[in-house]
Amino acid sequence: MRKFGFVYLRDLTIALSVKELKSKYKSATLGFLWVLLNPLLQMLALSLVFTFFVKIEINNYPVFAFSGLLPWTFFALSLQTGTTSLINNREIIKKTYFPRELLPISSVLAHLFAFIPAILLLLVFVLVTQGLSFSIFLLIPLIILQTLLLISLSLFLSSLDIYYRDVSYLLQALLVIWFYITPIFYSISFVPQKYLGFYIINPMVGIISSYQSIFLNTPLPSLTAVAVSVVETLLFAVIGVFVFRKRSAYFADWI
Amino acid sequence: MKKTNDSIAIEVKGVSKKYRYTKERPVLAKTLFSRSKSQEFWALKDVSLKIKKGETVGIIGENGSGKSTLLKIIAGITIPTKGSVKVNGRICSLIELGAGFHPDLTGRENVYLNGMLLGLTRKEIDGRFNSITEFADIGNFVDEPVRFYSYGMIVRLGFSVAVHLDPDILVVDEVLAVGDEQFQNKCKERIAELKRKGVTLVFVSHSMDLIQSTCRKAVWIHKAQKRFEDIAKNVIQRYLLYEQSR
Repeated sequence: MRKFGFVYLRDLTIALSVKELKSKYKSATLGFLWVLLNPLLQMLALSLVFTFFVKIEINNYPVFAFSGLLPWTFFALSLQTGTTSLINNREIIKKTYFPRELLPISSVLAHLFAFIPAILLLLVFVLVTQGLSFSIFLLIPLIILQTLLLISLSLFLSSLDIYYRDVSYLLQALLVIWFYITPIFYSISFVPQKYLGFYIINPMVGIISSYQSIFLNTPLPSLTAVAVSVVETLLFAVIGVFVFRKRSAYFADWI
Repeated sequence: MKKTNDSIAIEVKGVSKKYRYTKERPVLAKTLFSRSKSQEFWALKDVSLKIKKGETVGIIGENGSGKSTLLKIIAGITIPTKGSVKVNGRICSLIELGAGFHPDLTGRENVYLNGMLLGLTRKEIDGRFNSITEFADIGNFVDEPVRFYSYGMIVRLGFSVAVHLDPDILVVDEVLAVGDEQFQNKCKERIAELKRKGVTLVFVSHSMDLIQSTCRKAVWIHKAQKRFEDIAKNVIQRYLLYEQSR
């Protein structure tokens, strides 16, 4: 098969990500502001419910909720658009030849570009209200890890979605459950010890709880959970690349 | 590499393509429990073809004969079930003008995206951008979203990107059959220019005039197989005879 140069791959990845972002927000009046507004509204709702109605014993609950919600939104949106990225670009897959991997990758990257300003905003807020420690630099490997996990899952799910159109619906249903089995509005310390070993199989547990520790400047609740996330990410990366590579030659036939 | 191979731009060797299709779209939940029945058919059977560098070749045949599939295999969009394809040099495929044009993006953004999908880097497009918009003749609209464009403008812009690709090999599927007469003439001029430059051209077309006037050689694909291959004039003659006899 034809070889593609690095510069070409980089240019096309950026162009596809920008397209994804622009087509999503350009026609909306508030445009990119929605990237921030969405989790902000969700955080407000969660903070109201869990500080006034159901009292949850977590210090600085708004920051806690926001530091879990932002990466979760990044996760859920990327996975949804990543999964349908091939079907949604049916026309260009049928009519042009380029590395198909770039479609799921760029739809994850598009959400990453939207996620970063939101995270920076939270950083500024935390800096002003309580100050920051050096542990914020851990955000960089953490975001890389999450992006890698998302790309791997998107590669796998998008290549399935071409053959089975119910994959994206299954994912939607799964994401609702997934939200509740991830420590976002509650902390990992609420999980009974005997279920913890089972609970941390979810790769998002290690990732989300790391964000919370970084922003609240508290020690990591479970290093094992983070290790599990890393191992699973690598595993999914291998599976994702393998399945995608194997199937991508036939995408144009099925789509 | 042997010297004889250097003069070959495209070598198709015993290519067959099997498509599988199911009556309904497969559903994951169903597939896990029962084996879904799929039917298959051969879109191409054992087709071989050699196209020399700088040659202009037309591919003709009835609808559904497999000629578009052959083009897609040459372009790398899909892979053959059997056989192999060797391509020497940079290949660009033009299966649809403005493939991937997005209505919310501006003309400029779409030129870049479309150009990249067809194989150019950003820098290469930078250098050609003015020439592309000039040729397309869209004026001030270049920074407006494409959804405000007329159909003619979209086609012109798509075509303009296509002719600025500057490939070694260009494969074209039917796209030249769009637009008004003026546009058609512009196309023909540009094709002549590409030929002079020594670009290898492969056309799929129903227009015998186009094939006759631009191609030296032609290939007739009939019911998934290569039926006849010769100088364009002879192939067209036989093909038209066959058409009449039906």
